[in-house]
Amino acid sequence: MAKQPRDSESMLSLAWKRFRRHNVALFCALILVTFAVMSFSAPLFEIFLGTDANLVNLYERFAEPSLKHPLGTDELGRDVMVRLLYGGQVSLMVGMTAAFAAAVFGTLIGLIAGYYGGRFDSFLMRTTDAVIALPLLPLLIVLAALDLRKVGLSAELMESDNISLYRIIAIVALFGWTTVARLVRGRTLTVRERDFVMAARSQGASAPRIMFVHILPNVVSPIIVATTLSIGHVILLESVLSFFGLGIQPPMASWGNLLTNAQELIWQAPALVIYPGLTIFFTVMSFNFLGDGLQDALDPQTMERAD
Amino acid sequence: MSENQTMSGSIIETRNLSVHFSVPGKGPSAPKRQTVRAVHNINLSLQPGKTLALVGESGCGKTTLVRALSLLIPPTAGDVIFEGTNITKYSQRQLRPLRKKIQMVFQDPYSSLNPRMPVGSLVAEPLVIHSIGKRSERRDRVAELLEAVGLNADIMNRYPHQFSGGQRQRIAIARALALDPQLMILDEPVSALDVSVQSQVLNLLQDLQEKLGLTYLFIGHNLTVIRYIADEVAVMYLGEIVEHADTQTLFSDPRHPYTQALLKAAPVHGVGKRKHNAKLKGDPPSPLDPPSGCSFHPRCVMAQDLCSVDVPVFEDIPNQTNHQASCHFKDQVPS
Amino acid sequence: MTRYIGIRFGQTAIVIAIMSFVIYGLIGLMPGDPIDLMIAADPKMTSEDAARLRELYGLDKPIYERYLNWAEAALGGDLGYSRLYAQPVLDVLWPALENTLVLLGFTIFFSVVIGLPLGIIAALKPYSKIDYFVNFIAFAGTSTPSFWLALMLIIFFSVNLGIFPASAMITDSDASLWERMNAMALPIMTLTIHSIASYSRHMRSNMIEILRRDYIRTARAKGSSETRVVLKHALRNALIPVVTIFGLDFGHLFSGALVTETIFAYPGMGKLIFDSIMGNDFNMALIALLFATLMTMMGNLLADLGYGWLDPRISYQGKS
Repeated sequence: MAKQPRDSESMLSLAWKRFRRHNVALFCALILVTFAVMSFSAPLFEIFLGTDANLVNLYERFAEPSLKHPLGTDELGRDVMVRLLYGGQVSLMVGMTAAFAAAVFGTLIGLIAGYYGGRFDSFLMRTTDAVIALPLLPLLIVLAALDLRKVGLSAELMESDNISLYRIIAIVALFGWTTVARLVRGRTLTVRERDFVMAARSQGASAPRIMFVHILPNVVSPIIVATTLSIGHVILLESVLSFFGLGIQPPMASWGNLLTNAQELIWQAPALVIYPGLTIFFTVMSFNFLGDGLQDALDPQTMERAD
Repeated sequence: MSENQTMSGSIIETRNLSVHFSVPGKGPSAPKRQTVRAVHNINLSLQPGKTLALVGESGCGKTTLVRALSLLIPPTAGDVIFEGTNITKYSQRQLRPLRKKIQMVFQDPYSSLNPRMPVGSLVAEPLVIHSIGKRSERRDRVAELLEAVGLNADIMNRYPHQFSGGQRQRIAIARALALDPQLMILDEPVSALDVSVQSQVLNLLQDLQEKLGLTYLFIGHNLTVIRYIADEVAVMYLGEIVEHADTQTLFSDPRHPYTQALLKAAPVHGVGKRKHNAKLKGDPPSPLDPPSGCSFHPRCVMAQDLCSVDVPVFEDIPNQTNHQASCHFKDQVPS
Repeated sequence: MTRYIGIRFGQTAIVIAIMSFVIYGLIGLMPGDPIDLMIAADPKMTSEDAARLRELYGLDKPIYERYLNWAEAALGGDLGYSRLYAQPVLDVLWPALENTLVLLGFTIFFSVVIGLPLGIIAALKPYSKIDYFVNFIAFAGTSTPSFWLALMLIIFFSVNLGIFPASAMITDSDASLWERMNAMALPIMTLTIHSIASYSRHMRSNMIEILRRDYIRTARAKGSSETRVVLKHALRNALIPVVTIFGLDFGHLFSGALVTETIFAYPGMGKLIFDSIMGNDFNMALIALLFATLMTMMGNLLADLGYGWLDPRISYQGKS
């Protein structure tokens, strides 16, 4: 007979215990929280340093790090540190929103494909395979370069401040759902065969009920892991697009577009190229380690499986 | 018998029920697709308030039969008659109200309860599905059900993994009772439990049957348990019923060699003189490649040439009531 | 098996066909109407002229008709004219494709030669220093934005050390092989570092998985020496998923090549795609994108075939 856990032991606390053993993952979680807190308190930094993220001051171009500008200034005299923090807001937000949206969509697809099986499954999985087979970046670039006024969206909307934000989230989410879809479909196929699903069916439960009340809670762990891992990927994509000038548009700062002029800056102020990239690097790496840690905590038997 | 007439008053009946699967052919010389006769020509009838046991080795098709009978999978051929109505072709929507009357309890207490749901929600779920009662009314009903199966009502907020196998089966039974069913299909409900716990759960089932007038279809392979709980027994082999009789009769006068072999292999206390010399030889056959003629003949100690050619008919044993078997030599009383 | 390949080719063809329509539509949404551009270049053009030109070029027809015209021409071998390069599309495409394949070829070579052994060594000595090192490289590699990696390499090698050039564009057609290789060094390095990260990590986890499996233990029990065990059984099986990655990575490599080529001004497919999209060269962009899609799918197909060939347990009839 299975070992009886104590009454107060829930699956969540067991998972937390496993997670705590992962020093690296904990550390990375800490880093991320710190980044997030710092980024979203950018306005406070502005007040504290007495500067403004968008304040152009051509007399102070490429200034060395000082008390007033802890990381120096950029090619337009703007404070680097504050722009980095604001960029953090954007990159983190885009990353998490797009990853979440993609996960939701992918979960739906995976559940439907796995539960109904047959033709649905075939069709959905072939579509998923086709999307995975597409070259990602070229298509993202095309989508980012579109002039949406031609589709009928108003010019006003296109000029608004936040539009580049929404666009990039939409574009990236458009391709990001495939991993989750496959994952969820695989798990759904397994969970579907378990007795409690059969029991629900024999009681006359409707398909949506079975999918969302019975199957979904049992596939949530891998979804969380996959989504966390995809946040890093999304941040990388956003930074590439912004770097090319296709993503977040200045004056809104993103880590990617801080590097847009990098190729000229390399010769004059290499530090300006290093900082944003380094932050991207640490953030993405932290998400990856975090995801790994979560995987061990939430889904320990995955390690043993051959696929 | 006319189409809608049933054997008097049966709760549920199957007529020539068959479930055949088409699978890809295995092996280089096999045809593209082969047919597996998981369940073939089953005729069963369950009388109200009684327990019919279905006995057989694993892989004989018991589970498939159960699923076909409750129309969770569509039968390939044959009919299912519930309370006089032929429900074989009903859509899932039409079946929904009927599902209240047929409930199931499964073998594995560890997988029949959703690990992510607390016990209260699990037991209340049938009520939720059929929109019965308000939340407070449902809570009361859940408490009532838990007490009826011998558990404390305050476990409602706990999760399945906090309970033992026996307790989980009780929870599963409580859930099955939620809608006041008439028929309970019990698929090996005690096979996964410790022996000491088995009798407790069996007694619970019997009490409930008396109190609530339930009809049971009890699937099992442990003959001691079967003898204890069943009124009638049907023996299944390779997708077909090979013998059917009242419990007393089956255990004292089995006519099919397979039944005889089963009894010999696992003798039941109190059966009486062991008259049977039948033995079970060989391995269970694969349903992909059933033997010709009588499907049992390769393992039958009494097999003759006839047995590999002619398929025996499932018919009454002369001079006995309610006893049928399918064997060419069923009329001979074994020495 | 032939049937399987046939099916896959068919699927690829369908996807390419669908994508051609989708991309055709998307390209049409890109800024810059050809006639508008002409008007901008010639202010004396009247609106009647413009209308006449539209009719001449068939730009006033509905999209599906334009698409079908294009498709018909394309299937007949006429892939259009590139506005940006003032040459037929194919004349620009082939050299670019060649260049990219050369670049990718070197990348794959170095990645395999360096990455696979790293993964194997790490797997053979789990939790050792070298294992952590490999793991770290792998993690770091996949967490680094490739464009930033390129920039960092430029800073390190070109700016600080002055060894390799920051641009891979060779304008002097008499440049020696050495100079060409020199110019390609940084792009290759950028792509390789990324790939090594993937390969070594996957190789490591596959090897660990395999080494755990039962038949390895059995083989050891038979008395074979350790090396033979490793090489014969584990390698073959560990290569399977690597082959898959290799094929899937193809698409990834293409995307990565896009970024790298653009930064280093290397005249390959990636840069071509980028320039033609940004330069609103509709024809070129369309064809280049389709080609990229085709290459990616071919990569996938090769990977699946390689997978099936290496792992005899997979039968093509049973493939789900």
